[in-house]
Amino acid sequence: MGEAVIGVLADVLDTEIAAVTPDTEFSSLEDWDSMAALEVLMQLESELQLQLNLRNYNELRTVGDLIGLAEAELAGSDS
Amino acid sequence: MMAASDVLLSVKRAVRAGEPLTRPKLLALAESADPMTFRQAGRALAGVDAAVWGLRPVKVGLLTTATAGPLAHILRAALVSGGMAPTFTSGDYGAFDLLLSAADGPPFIGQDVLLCLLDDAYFLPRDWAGSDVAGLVAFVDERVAAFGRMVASAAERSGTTILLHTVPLSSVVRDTFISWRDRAALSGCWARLNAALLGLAEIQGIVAVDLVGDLAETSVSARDDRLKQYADIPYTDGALMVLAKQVRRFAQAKAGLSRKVLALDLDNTLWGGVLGEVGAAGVTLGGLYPGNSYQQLQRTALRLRDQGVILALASKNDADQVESALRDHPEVLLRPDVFSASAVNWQPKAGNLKHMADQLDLASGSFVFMDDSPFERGHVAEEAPEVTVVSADGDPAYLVRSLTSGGWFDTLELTDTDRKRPELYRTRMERGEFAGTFGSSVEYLAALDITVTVTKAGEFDIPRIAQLAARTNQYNLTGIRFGQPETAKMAADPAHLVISWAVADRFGDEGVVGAAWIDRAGETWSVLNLVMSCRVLGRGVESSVLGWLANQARAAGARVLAGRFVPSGRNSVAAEMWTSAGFVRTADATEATEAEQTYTLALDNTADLVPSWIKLVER
Repeated sequence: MGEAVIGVLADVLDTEIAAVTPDTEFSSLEDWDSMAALEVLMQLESELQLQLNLRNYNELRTVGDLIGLAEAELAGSDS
Repeated sequence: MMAASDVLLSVKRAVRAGEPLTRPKLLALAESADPMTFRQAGRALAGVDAAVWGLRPVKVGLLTTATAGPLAHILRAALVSGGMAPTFTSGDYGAFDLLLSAADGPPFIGQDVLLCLLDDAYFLPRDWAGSDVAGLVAFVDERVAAFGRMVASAAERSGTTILLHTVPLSSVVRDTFISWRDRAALSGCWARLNAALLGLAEIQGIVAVDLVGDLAETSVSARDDRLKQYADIPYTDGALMVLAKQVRRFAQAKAGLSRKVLALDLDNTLWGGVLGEVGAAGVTLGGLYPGNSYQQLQRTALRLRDQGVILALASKNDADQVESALRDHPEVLLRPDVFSASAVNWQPKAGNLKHMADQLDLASGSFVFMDDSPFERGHVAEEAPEVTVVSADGDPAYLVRSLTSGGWFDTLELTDTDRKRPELYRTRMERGEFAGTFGSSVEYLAALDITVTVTKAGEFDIPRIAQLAARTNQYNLTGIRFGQPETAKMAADPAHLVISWAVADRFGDEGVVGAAWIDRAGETWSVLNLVMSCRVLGRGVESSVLGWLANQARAAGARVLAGRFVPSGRNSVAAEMWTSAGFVRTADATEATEAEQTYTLALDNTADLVPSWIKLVER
């Protein structure tokens, strides 16, 4: 899951995968704005075939938070 | 068709390497139905150099009633897939009416086309009373009329072509009315709105896309309420992709990139079945499914011809048999005289297409080629990448959609010249066989990874071998049809040998395609008959099998490999098999022996007959 999330972030922001870790804060990423955030959301939802709650998504602080949210969503939709 | 992820990978790789994407890969992108592929490919393609990639530069103005979101990315991917490199000029968010009524700002000036992205909220009031549907309808009617006046005036004053689209009404709006009569009134009003938008296309300089109609046949949701509420983005990537494909079709026609010629394969494209195997009476055409699907494709081709598309025939068959089938079959709609050019022979199709282009005095880039065989499509994509290749593979029910959905023949206006063009070209051209030969390049064949697997016939192979003998009329060297009992007897007899062979390449497995019966009693091995499906011609399969036989015979101590050719009137395609593999016609070639020709190959110092591009396996 972590790999998929980081892959999408690196792809959307056009940076190296190594530059993004679970501890990275979104606000510290270059070119991070509301459009980029939506772009990441759309791509992630399409790749992982899930739908996130936008309100929860907007409150995330770190990449690790996003991985956690996606994992929780996937676990929830499985049960 | 390439998988969505493969298309995206090929785009990213090409951009990273700074190398243009090949035309067939661009076509794969155009045909992709995955919105995320369009969005990501469009983002990757942002810096593409039009000159290096050989793309036509187009300037596109964007004017949106809400947030454009990923519109530019998705549009870019679509336009590049059609051979164009766009530069975008966007109007500011919230300034739609201002910019449209002025019509002199940057989104208009100097643009090839201005796209207005409209959403339902633009035509609706901010609020309305649930009890007053009449008031809402009156508001919408007035708003559409005002919009129409504004667009018409903008088109006239700016001289820039304006592209509009029909607008879906969100069910969220419709369902706030709980009475059936009120909902019908609102839907009726919305249908009038879309009719009015389409009606604007009668004005010079305005074009309208029926987005609502397209969305009805697309398996994507048009809206994401989260995007609308959070970012005022009215459409999903999927809906934008559907629109972008239509913009591509329009821009392509405007840039002069419309295709002019439709080259059609025959067997399993214009009818079901293989003419050479089942005869004209045996092909599937007309009546119920699947015959109706093939006939509808013929009808569609005819309708395209009415509108100026030149039809050409590209079929591996015997020309005489095709001519009479097209003339005499009662369900055929495409009679021989509707084709302005025709290449019915056993030569590779890429060469045939180029030759027809020369004859018609048109560029082969103006050709669309439709064929069910992945081998033929791959061959043309490789040897003539400028040709637009359309698949006729799979369920025949999709034939018409496959042909028309790309919009390759779209034209801005239909003129009298268009309508007369096919006849013009037909009379200008001498119909007939092509004399020249066009070799398949060894590189292409090598890239196919062709494997020929030869099997000495065992119990389980006999039925298929007998079936091949019974059904093969064209590539049948002597016409002798060894049945199941004879074949089984020979297979068990040490003085005889029965073999079959299967062919596979990177497009897939053709299965068992040929068989041969050999008398190996003495120092001369004699091929009593050899049959092969015409599907695999032109790949050196027959040479590799003869090579295998020669090696076997030599190893067994034989000195000569011999074979015969008996003309049957239908097997001319096989006439050259022996000589092209290096066999020599026996000296007593008289009229009497013309009906039964004998060929021999001395085995003492012959080179390997197996072509370099074929991997020969014995099982």
